[in-house]
Amino acid sequence: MNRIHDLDEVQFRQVHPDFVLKGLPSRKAFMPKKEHGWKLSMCRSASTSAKDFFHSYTKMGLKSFGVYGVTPRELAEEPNPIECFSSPSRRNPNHSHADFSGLSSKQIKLKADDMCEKAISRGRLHP
Amino acid sequence: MVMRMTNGQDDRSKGGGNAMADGRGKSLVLRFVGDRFADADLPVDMLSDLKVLGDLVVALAKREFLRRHPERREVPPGFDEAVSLVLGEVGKGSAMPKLNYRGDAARRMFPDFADELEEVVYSSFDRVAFIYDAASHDDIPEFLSTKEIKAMSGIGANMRKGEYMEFQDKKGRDGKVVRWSRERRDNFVELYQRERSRARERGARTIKFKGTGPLVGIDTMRNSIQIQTSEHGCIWLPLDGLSQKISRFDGNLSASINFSANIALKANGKFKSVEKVHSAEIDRTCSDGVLECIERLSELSKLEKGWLGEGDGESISPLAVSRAMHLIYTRSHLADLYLIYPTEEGGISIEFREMPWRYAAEMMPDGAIEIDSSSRDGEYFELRSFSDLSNDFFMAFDEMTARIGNEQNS
Repeated sequence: MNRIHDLDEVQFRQVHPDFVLKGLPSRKAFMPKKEHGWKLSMCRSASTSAKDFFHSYTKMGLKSFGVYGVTPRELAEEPNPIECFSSPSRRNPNHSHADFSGLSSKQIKLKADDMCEKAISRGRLHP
Repeated sequence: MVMRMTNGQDDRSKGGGNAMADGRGKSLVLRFVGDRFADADLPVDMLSDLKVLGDLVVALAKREFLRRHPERREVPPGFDEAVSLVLGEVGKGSAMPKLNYRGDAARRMFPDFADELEEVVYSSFDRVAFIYDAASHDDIPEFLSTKEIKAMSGIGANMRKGEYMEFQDKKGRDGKVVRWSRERRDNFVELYQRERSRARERGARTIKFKGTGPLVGIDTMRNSIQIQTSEHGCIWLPLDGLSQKISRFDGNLSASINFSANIALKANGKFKSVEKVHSAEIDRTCSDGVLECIERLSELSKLEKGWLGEGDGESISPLAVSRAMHLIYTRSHLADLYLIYPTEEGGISIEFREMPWRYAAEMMPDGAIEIDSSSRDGEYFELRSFSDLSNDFFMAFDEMTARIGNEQNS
């Protein structure tokens, strides 16, 4: 598990259709879970495209409104900076994650909010 | 006599140690200001204040734990010990005692829910600051018992004129650090005694009440409907003697109901019972924004467990939906802005924007509510938790969203 050094490499995130209304995703789509060690699952653009990520995800029978993205530089901004790490798995060799584990529950909500806004600003990447 | 505790490090005296500064905050940090508190001096007579504060945190933690576990009638044996605080260091720069939650006892005694107890204690830190903020603005926190109010008003009794205590990193409704002093304490005691005296004079009484709220229940056997009101919680209205038949309400769960009834109040002003219903009608005048929200809630109510895929995603709790409906109806002027989403845990998240601000009200599956907001400029309205849609909740919600009204009017 290595820190992603290219701070401008977009990290992809799938957003479930029920987390989208009027084209706007909920911040809940960017909230990490305690059972995952407060790590939010993402996918590296360095090794796959938004289109391929979307198709491989939906091919597994999972629903997605689309792929959004943020960069490690955006996530490292104050307040509550966090880092991104490459964490390939058998199921997804392009897997990465954003690590929220150093934040309090309030800070996690604020950071997820901020992440959501940045993703919205970038726009849906696919489809 | 002055008791000198272990000196804290200088950087901690800058107000660190609470949730926002330290990440996962584990201390309730106070700051006593006045000549007697120079450096890290804490007069021994102030220790009783710290004990009262610690006991209040435990009482609030109990309340929060039982709210999260409605299946329990009481907390498990040993709970008090598990959530008790210890006095850690006293920081410099005007005495700054830290009340620490270690969690060792909780992990030893309740390994299965030690993490939950940690959350409960941290939320109690916020709650206790909220209580003192409310009291310093002449609000008597409704949810506290008489015994708890007497206890909380014990803090400050040993302070002298000009001295005060601050809850570090806890901002109040005026955006400033929550502060408590002898003067505020005396004002509050006087206010409380005056209210009690008035309540005793009033005694229990019956009033004619006109209200509006969403329809949350129908009991055909008892010919009654249940309405959720902001003033008195969920109440049942018997329709006996009314021209409206109960069949009229069938199929209209979540509709807004206007009603008029005689209700009996207890001596403390709290709801006792409905004595006579004069009228109850479905409100057909809802705005498009409200109707759209209700339709969205209706859709989300149908989500089945596993909706998120791979077994994730709980079905949406009816209590969360009911809370959301109530907020939408009672704060319908914002309905056009509300974006309503499900949460994985089975709650409802109402999010809205009036840039540069983003707002959220999350209804938990157990009926608790959290609100917070933040702006692109880095400002934020600190997250607050409520067990129900009480007056305290609406005051905080209105405070949080006050700027939306100003921006719309400017």
